[in-house]
Amino acid sequence: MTLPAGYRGKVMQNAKSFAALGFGEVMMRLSPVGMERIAYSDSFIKRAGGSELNVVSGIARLGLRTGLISKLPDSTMGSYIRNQIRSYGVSDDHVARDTAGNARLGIYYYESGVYPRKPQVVYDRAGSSFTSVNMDEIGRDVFDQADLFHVSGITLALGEKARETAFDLVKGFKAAGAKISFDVNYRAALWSEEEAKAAVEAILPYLDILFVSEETSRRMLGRTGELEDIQKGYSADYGISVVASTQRKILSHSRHSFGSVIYSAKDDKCFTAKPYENIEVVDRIGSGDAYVSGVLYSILSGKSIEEAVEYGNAMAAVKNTVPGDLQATTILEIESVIRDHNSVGVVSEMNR
Amino acid sequence: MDKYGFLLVFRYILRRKIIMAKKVVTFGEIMLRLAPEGYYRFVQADKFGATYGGGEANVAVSLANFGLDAAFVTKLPKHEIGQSAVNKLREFGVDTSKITRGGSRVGIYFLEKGASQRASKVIYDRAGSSIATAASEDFDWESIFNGVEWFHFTGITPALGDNVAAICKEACKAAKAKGITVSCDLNYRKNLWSREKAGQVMAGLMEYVDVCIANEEDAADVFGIHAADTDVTSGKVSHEGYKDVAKQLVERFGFSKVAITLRESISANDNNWAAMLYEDGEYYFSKKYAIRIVDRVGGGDSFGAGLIYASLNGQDSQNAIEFAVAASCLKHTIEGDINMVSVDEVNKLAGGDASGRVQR
Repeated sequence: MTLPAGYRGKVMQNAKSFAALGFGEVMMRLSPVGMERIAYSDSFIKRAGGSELNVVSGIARLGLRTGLISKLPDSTMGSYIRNQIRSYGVSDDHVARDTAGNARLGIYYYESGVYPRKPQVVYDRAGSSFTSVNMDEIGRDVFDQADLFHVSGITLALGEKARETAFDLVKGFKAAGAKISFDVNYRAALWSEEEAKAAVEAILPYLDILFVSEETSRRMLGRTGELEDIQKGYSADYGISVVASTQRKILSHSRHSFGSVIYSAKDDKCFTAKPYENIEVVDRIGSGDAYVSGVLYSILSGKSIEEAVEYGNAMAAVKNTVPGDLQATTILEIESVIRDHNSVGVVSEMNR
Repeated sequence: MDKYGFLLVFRYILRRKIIMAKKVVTFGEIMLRLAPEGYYRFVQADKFGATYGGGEANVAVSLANFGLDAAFVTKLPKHEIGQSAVNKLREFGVDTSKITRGGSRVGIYFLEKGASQRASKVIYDRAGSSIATAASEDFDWESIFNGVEWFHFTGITPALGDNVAAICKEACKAAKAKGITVSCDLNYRKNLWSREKAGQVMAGLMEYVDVCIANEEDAADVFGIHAADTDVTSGKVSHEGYKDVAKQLVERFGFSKVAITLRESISANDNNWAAMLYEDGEYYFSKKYAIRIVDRVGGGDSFGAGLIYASLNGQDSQNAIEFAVAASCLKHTIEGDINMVSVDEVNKLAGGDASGRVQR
């Protein structure tokens, strides 16, 4: 078997087609130009966006081969999104085509915020093609094609069919020996905390890697104690090997600090690193996903958990400076950002 | 009251009479129109121009531009996209005070502009919009029609669903009861309903309609009334054949006027454009214009608005049809759904100056 281009850092034997496959909806994001408001805008920038796409695209940007499992209308708009997926370095081999007459692409409108005006999202995603995705369309041959499978709580919130398919995928990939990664990513606009809690608790026993914030742990999942206790608790209760929590401090809508804590069961220890202070936020959407991709990239390439914290933090920090949902960076840039971040000497203000 | 006071009051009444514009209400859906810039295809574009349009809303804007008091009635969500649609209507001087707010979505249509042999392309994403899910209680026609002289809707409105067709019928009944003139542009949309369904629902509404507006295909699509010696796709349109279409429409539904636009499609960019009005047993044909299309969406709506304006201002049949055709001729040269022209501009063209020379 030949190793696909770009997939390096893994053992050659039994190499699978993809380092990681994600499962989720890709929507068309429409946002006014610059700081304009939705209600007064004459044009919208058109982009593709979706949490799991952001994650696998981030991993691909760092050099591993990834793909997305999804479903899109078999229409011109669907083709646009499909093309975007490929342009972000992600395979669309497992994106099913919806040929139904009422097939539609989910849309969301996004307006940037500047302190004290908050960023605003208007969802228009009901009845999208993804909400009818099922295992027959995806095919069970995906299960042994990836080393890691990633899904987020957003997918679980997109209705019964999507949730059922997510669980089928989690079980199938688990049985085929893939690592299972899950980001709770709670969205109040999509479902209630009670509904979310039931679905999240049902998925926890299958996980190898969990991304959950301290706040969601306390409020939705009823966890108590210090962050370290909370993270250890998930590991003890559900046998999860890696639990990661981001720590974002919002100084203003355009100034954030970003750090994180990762618990590793193997080391039975929590790891953290110096946070990025005073990030100039250009576009915060997708920065949590970028963090996930940095951590997953590190784990997939056999790096230590200390390094996973560094890569995750750097990915999130850089994403905050890039417009659009998706991370646009290279492994060289991320490694140089990490070096500068940890250096004590003079740091050049421009790369040239 | 002294003599001076009396004069003031008299002057006030006189001015009110002159200034008070005639009131028109249109009812339907306004959608967000997302179109790539210039001639980019959907899959290429990184950006959409965002405008708002819809058959009946376009008519309302046109009439407001002509100086009438035009109100547009619909239902729009309370969120930012719904507000954007309201803002746009207000910007163009349309009365938005009768719009009901609620529901969850604004319908969308994507428009890719064609050129030469590549036809323009429209993709609808309008299912489940606020107006499509509206109920009778959302509209109080009694108060909406207060002081109104003309009510206009198009075949798109009842096509949105049985609930909307029912609301449309209630509006028609209320209008009739108040002696308001009702006009309907048949506007058949195959993406929204079948010919059979359209024929059945529209026939039920026609008894309330005084003025029927159609294009060269609508009568055949909706009511199975075909023009002799005509093949629209090949660009062959027999003006004589449409006399019979208009006559049949009047015989079947008792309209006082039937106006039919006659588009001869030479290519996506070039059309011949004319219209016919049938009234009191007489046929009135307009001049035929050769037009170079900048944006043809809303062409029919601008024709309807022209006809309503001319009729409300008591123009005779020949002048009315000339005004309506000239208005829609100008619309074809304007980007977006809406006809941004004044009465003077239309009159100038209708009056014979089709040279396109700079006016100064």
